[in-house]
Amino acid sequence: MIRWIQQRNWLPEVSLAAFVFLLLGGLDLLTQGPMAMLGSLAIAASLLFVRKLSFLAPALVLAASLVQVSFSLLPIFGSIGIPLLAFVVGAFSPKPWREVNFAVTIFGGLVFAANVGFNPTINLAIFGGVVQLDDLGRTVIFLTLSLLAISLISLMWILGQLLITRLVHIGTDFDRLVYEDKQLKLSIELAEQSKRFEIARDINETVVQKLASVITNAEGGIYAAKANPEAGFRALEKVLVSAKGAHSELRRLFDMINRGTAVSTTPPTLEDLEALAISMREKGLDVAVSNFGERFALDQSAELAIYRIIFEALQNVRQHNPRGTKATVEISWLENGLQVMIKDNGVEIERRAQLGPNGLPVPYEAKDDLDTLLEKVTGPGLTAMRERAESFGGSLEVQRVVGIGFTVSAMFPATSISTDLSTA
Amino acid sequence: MASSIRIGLLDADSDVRFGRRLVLSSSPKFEVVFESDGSVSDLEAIEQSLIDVLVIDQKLSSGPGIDFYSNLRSLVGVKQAPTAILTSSFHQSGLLVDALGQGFVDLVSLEQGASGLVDRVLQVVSGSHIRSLLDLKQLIDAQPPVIQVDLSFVRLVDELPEKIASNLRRLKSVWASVDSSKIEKYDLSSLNDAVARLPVANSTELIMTMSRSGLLDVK
Repeated sequence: MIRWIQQRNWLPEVSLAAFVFLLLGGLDLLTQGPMAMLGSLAIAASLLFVRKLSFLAPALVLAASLVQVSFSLLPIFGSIGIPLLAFVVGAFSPKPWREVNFAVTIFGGLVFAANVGFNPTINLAIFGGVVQLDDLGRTVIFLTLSLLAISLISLMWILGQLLITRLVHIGTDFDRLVYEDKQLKLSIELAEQSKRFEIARDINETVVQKLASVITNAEGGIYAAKANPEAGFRALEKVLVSAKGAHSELRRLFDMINRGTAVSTTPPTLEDLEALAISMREKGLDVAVSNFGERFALDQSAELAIYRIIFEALQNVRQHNPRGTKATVEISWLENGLQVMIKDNGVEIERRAQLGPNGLPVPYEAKDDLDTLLEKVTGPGLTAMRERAESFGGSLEVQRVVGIGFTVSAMFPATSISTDLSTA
Repeated sequence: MASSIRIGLLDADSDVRFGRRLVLSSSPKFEVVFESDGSVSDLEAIEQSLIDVLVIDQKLSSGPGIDFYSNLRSLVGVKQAPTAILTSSFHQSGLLVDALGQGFVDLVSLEQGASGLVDRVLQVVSGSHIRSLLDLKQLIDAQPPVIQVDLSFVRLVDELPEKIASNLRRLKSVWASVDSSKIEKYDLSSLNDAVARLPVANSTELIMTMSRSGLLDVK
């Protein structure tokens, strides 16, 4: 509830003000006529400006008081809204208006008390009594009601503050449960990380030891080979064994650090794109891969970068689009380079799911065209993809296709990625 | 013909020992007469092997190399224990300070290479390994201050004859000096008499022990 109020700008205020006005203003209209309703309207309207434009709230309360005094009205039902206003002010008004509004609501309460106590049209006779009120009696009534009004308004103001403090700083039982659950998950994760760190430390020690062996044996081999080649050969054998041991330890470390992510013994190539497409299909994204032109041999690291760009782009499509989205990967092997385009139709699928007033899918508008022209698609994932492309002399662009989806286009010059040309 | 230098090799890793033996054995000046992983049972064997220089790695099967050498000195006596060089994978100033304080003559890391080890052993045997007082001061000042007062050592220092005690007082005044050239010129051999009377292996260990016991502090 509190989050619902905090996350919306005017809706909670408008709802509350409307409720107060319709209920209390209606009663005033029925009992005292339009002027009394005007007073209720001012008090109800003051509820609108509790959080924003807070300076208007006290002005409206003062206006309501003025209406009551000027037209010698009997106490209006709208005055019931004053303690409610004090509660809402205590909870939601920003400083210093919280205090100012509190003082003004107290004033509103005093006006109500004065109106009851000193209004000449009010005496006990109207309630069926026989005793006429003199000045002392009216003063006593005013003081008693003032005390009650001050107490009630103060209480409501304090309750408002208490409520907001409790909800924001302590939270509800549900909040605490969510927090505890999150904390538990973090504790487990931390324990796992701590365990991994311990294992990593052990492996690191072993690797250091193995490398120490590699170094000392290599040095020993160099020293010994001069006098005794046989000893040098034996040292080399030990170097090999220790180096292999260090390598397998590093592999263990690598596996452990990357636990939870896919580990392959060789870096993926563009040949693995079909397997990637199958894996994406299993995850709900329909992917089709096509090649155009005559393939040429790629530098291994460039090929890995291109694969990574395609992988990241497909991951983005999968994460940000509804089920049923299709993606195509088009690789064009050109004479001067390589172009990769990853297209999706996520926007189209989303539009189809939303029906307009005529029962047909929502069409795209001129505003969408404008957005497409002006919008610059950004994000850390895209930046990383762009940097990968640039590291091989290439470039990467992302564009929204109006009403369809997005297109990621990467272009690489052949001189930077082809082994044939780069070694030539 | 001068006799070769008898070396003892201690390292938990047999492959590392093999490599070091190859390095040292390739020179006719050295003879590796003892080799072990540094288990506790080696202590007596070392005593009987008439070793000139012990090359002890910090990683031994019985624990840290520094502790092993400390136990050896307790067993055979500070003056009788063979001169020792500590080896480790990486150079660490803290480890060097600890090693010097326990009577090691130096710390040789893997980064210094095989030639570093060979050179150090040769320097130790020739006696040219001694560090300057400025080196020691810089080394100690770079570490967090550690006070570990050895009361029996302090008592022995108090009981030194006046001539030796005055040497130590001079050391203290030089140590406190702000003039680094004065510290550098200080001749550590002037401490030889004190070294002979106190339970330390060399002047470096004497300075380290005095520093740890607060005997070099200015009052």
